This record gives sequence, C-alpha cells and structure tokens, in this order.
Amino acid sequence: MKKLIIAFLFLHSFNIYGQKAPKSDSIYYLVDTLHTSPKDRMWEIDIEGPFKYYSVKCPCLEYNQQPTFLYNYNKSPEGIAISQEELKRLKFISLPDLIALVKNVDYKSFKNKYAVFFIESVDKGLISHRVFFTQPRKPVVFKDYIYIKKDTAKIQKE
Amino acid sequence: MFLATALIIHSCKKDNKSQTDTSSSTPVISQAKQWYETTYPTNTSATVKQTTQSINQITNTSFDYTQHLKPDWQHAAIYSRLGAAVVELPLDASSDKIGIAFKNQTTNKEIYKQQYSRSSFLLLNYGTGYQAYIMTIVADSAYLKGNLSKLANNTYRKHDADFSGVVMYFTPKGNFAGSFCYKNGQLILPASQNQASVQNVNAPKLQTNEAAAPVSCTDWYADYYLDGEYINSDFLGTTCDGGGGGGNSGGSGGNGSGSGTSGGSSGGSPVIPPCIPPQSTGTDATTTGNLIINAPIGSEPPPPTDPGDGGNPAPVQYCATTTATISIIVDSLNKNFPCAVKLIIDGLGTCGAYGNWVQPFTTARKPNLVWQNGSLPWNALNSNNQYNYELGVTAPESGSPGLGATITLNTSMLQKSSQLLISAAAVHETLHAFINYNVATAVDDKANGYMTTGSWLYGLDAWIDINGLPSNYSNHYEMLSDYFSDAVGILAQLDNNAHTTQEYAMAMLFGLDNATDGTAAQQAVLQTEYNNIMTAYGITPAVIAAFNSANLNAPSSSQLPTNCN
Repeated sequence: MKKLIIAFLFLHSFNIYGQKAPKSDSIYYLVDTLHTSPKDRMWEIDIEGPFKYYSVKCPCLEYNQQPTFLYNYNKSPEGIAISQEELKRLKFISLPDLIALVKNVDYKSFKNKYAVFFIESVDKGLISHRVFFTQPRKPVVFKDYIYIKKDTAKIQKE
Repeated sequence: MFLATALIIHSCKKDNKSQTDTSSSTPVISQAKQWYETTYPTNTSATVKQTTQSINQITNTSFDYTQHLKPDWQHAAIYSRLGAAVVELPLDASSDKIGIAFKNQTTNKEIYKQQYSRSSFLLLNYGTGYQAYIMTIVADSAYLKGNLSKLANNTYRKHDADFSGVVMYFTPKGNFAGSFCYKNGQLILPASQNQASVQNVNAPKLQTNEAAAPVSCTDWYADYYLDGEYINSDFLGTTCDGGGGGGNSGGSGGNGSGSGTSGGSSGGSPVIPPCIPPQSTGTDATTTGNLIINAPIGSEPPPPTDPGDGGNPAPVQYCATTTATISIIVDSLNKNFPCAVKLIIDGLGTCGAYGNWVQPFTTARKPNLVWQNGSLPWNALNSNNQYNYELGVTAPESGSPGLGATITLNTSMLQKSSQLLISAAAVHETLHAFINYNVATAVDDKANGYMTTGSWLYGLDAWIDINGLPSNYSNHYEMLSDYFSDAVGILAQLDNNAHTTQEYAMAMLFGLDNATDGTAAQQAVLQTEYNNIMTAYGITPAVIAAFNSANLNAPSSSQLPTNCN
C-alpha cells in the first residue's frame, strides 16, 4: 500500500508538472515604423496608463476592434537587449500574417499557444519585449437616468 | 484542495473575529461608535464588493481599511485638541495586521520597514460631525533601536521627544490625508528640508512644475502589508536630484537618521521619503490639441506647522486647502458651460477622494477623461408612464487598452437643474470612468499573466466577477456598496455643507437603482442595496421623489450661473 501511494504521488507530480509548463511557439515581430512614411504607418504605438500598446489600424476583429498587443510598462519597462547577430537569427512574422493569426485566434488559448515578442529600435539599440494580445471588448455605454412618475401631484402627496 | 482548505479556515477565522465585538458605555463613545459603524459598515456578503477590493489592490488605488481594521472601543481616549473633539482608538485585536513600508522604487529598497509601523483610529469632530482617519506611525529604526513597544508612545496628541519617522493619515476608505516627517522629535519643515537636500547629495528634492529638467529622479512608494504579506503600493511622489526648482508640491526629504536602511547605493545617510500627497506631484501640463485644465484651485497646500503641544499636525482636508492637479480635457464643456467646469469639475478635483478617482486621467499621457455636453433625453415619457431624465452618459474608449472615457452631461440638466444634482451627476459619471479604468487595467494585467498583487486570485476575481457581469449592474452596485459614503462626503465638501447629509445622499442616489442590463435577480440585489442606503439615510420614496422633482427643474437661484468671471 505504501509503495502504491508513493508511486501515485510520483506519477501525479509528473502530471502536475506537465500541466504547468505548456509549450508555446515564439513569434517575433520587428516594429520598424521608421522605414514607413507616417501616412502609411499601420501601427499606433503609445503608452496608456500602465500599458505600452501596439495597435494595428485595422478594425478587423470582433466589435470592429483593432488587433492590439501590450505589456505593462510599469512592471517591465526595460526589455531585453538584442544584438545584431541575434537579430539575424530570428525569423520574423509579417504584418499580414500577424493579423491573420490573431483574426482567427481562440483568445483563451492564445497566450499559452504563442509567446509574442516585439523588437524595437531604441536609443540603446534593439530591445525585445514580450507582448500580450488583448481580447476585444464589447463597447459599453453607461446611460444614467432619473425616472419621475407621470402623476407628479401624486408624488407630492405620498 | 490546499487552497480551498486555506480559504475555509480563513473564512472561519473571520467569523470568529466578528464575534468579539463589544459595546462601549460612555455616551461620547457610543455616539462615535454608532456614527462610525453606520458610515463604514463592515462588508458581510457581497461578492462584488470583495472583488472591488481586489481590483483596488491590483490597480494601486485606495485600500479599504474598513474591511480590515476595527477600532477598539474599549480603550478609547477622549480629549480636545486643535479645535476638534477627538476620539483616539487603538486597533481592536481582531483587526488584520496592517503594515506600511516606505520604498525607494529605483533601488527597490525599503527605507522604513513595515514591521516598524503602527496604526490607530482618529475620530475628529470640528462641530460639524465626525471625520474618521487612520493614523499610521512609521518609525525609523534608529529611533526604535529594536524596541517596537516605543511605537505606542506616539499618539495623535503626543509623540516622543526623539521620534524620527513619518506620520501618515488616511481616510477609512484609504484616501491619503497627509503625511508629516519627524527627525529627533522635530517636524521637518519645507525650509529645513530644502536646506538638508542641498547639503546631502543623497537627500532628494521634489520635482515641481517650475523645476528644470531633473537629472535623476526617484519614485517613492508606500508598500502595504496585510498579515505580513505584500498587497498593494501607493505612489507617494517623485524626488529628483541634480535638477532645479524648489518644492511647491510639498516637502522633500531631509537627512536620514543613520539607521541601517540606506536608501542609496553610495552608502550615505538614508533619505526620508517625501511627505507629499500623491495628487500634488508634477502636473504634466501638455496639450493634445484640446484645452487641458491645469489650473490649481484654491490655495497651495499649507506647509506643515508644528502645533507646539507635543502632538502631530491634524489630517489635511484636501477639498478646502490643497491644490488640485487636474489635467482633464474639458474643451467642449468649458466652451458652452464654463461655470460647470469652474464650479463643479474643477471644484471636485480639489476634494480628496475625488482626486484619487481622477488621478489615472491627470497625466499628459493617456488615458484621457473628456467632458462634454450633449442633447440627451429630458422629460421624455416612456412606456411605463414615467418621465425619463437622462442626466449623463459615460462612454469608455472602446479599443484597447480602453482605459479612458468620454462623459457627456445633458445640456438640459446643465440649464435647468440644481448645482447639487449636476455635481452628483458629475461624480456618478466619474465613478463609471474610474471603475472602467480599474476593470480594464485588471483584466489586461490578468490576461497578460502578471501576478499583480502577489496572488493570481485577485486578477481572477476581477475577470470573472466584474468583467463578466453586466456593466451597469456591477458599476452601480460598486457605487452603492463601496463609494457611496465618499461620494456624499465629496458633495458636502464641494459646497461647504450647504445642504443636509440626506440631501447629498438623495442626489448621489440618482440612477443607482438602474441595472437594466442585468438579470431580474441582479436588479433585485441592486434594489436591496439601494433600499439599504435609503434606510441608512432616513430617505423615503416620497421624499426622494420630491427631491428629484425639485432639483431636476430647480429655481434659478440653485442653477448654475451663466457668468463665472
């Protein structure tokens, strides 16, 4: 019995380990806006709140949302430096392929399935950031009312 | 399984704690206790509320002390000081263990350790009713010399003659209400702080509006610990060295006291973090093609003055005494209703809790909070034989990250309603924007796998319980359960208590029973919460109906003026 329990725990630990470490495909995209004229740039890149985001100006997702990748700028502002040699070894995805990828994605599994890295040129050289694809949100509008009964005279008497 | 077991045990522990309550005998304490427990009820049931707390923790917004700390009514000290009747209370033994540490974010080093902090309750009555604060003493290790019992020597009315450290005030809902630094029992005043900064290269100077570009800046954070575990941080301010400018945003640090918690890498004297309100740091006054209001309202925050009686300075009431740092886009509203901007939007920005709610929108960067007026339904008869008055609309940005929002106030309301109702509508719509910011930030953080507060559970709560709920229902529920008392207090601060508390409450209740996007069950839950608030403030349906009628179409004396020059 003791051996049986030990064997079970041993096998169970492998099972847990297997669940914890799913393999993901690495996708690299070179954010190179400098070589595109401003009017032809497809990327909106900015910092909003704690996030730095990269949004493709293409309303091609659910709710006419744009594909957007972001990372928490406050938590990981530095990124990882990439040398020219490393850059040459990386295989980059094209923008059309990136759009096609996220357009047909299952949002829930995307993060586990793919690790997306954006590589940018900064003052210090090239840096890489892992970015996360955001699920389009349904637009919300809050409308706030007061309702008054038609018989206002009755209200005064209540 | 382990997690579930831990949660069950923790739940049982909480239940036991709540049974230790005992009542007090003296009339003053009984009255204070009744006021406190009515104003800050302890949450017992709502899932949404628990989630809101989680979101607060995720997004570095206010920490709700009322759900963690309880006054010990059996050991209250009653006295008068600085023009107020004071009830000072230690924490009840059933309270959670809260600790505050000061951290230099640049070096990630704690200057003051959370174990060296001690909190107590203050109830101050200046003749207009009670105000409650949490006072936290964070002591320097050089002062304590390993003797933590010395913390208890420092109360509101008396501190040790050699006390070194920081005294911080918060409202029970976690809004910052001032902090003061001491060195060897002396309150550090701005002049001496600046002098000290010049003398010590490690001592920081504040970044101010007028300052030249700083060479090196340090972000200071207060880290909060619950039962020894890190849960949250508050940004206290930025100090810079090598730049120009003095400090109009508060004081800067002086020389350290020589304790073992050096804040710099050079091994010099430790620095004392800035004693400044979070909302008074740099204004980032740039434009994005629109008019950005960056006008300080009211006076500069008064420099800390030593009361001279051996005690600490009083908490700061920011609405009346401090500078707002508002950089919110109001061009449309300002063009058509300048008095709405000047008297209400700007005025609200000077009220402490409101300042925290709009803080995410007050930098030069996005997200923006845009105010405008527009034609919305007014006095429109609906199918239920009711007249429909739409006071305002909040539209969060639809894209990602989607943290900003545009608020539209009804033009008819701005022309016809009372300033009180317009103010309440402004607060209500701001809360929609604020809650949307919190939810969107939490959701994106969770989706990105960031363990934002040391536990993935918080993000999961946000995702499932808030983001998954109908927006109107969840927002209005949170406003009722988490923000209502603060909102009532803000309205009272804005017009300097020109109305009764009941009137402020009735104004703030507008629209909060609306859960049109929720299920019948959710509508019922919301209605129950709404009714509880009505009962707490002694409001009947007839009274609020009459109030609404009178304030929707108010006499001209109550309306917004047309000229604010």
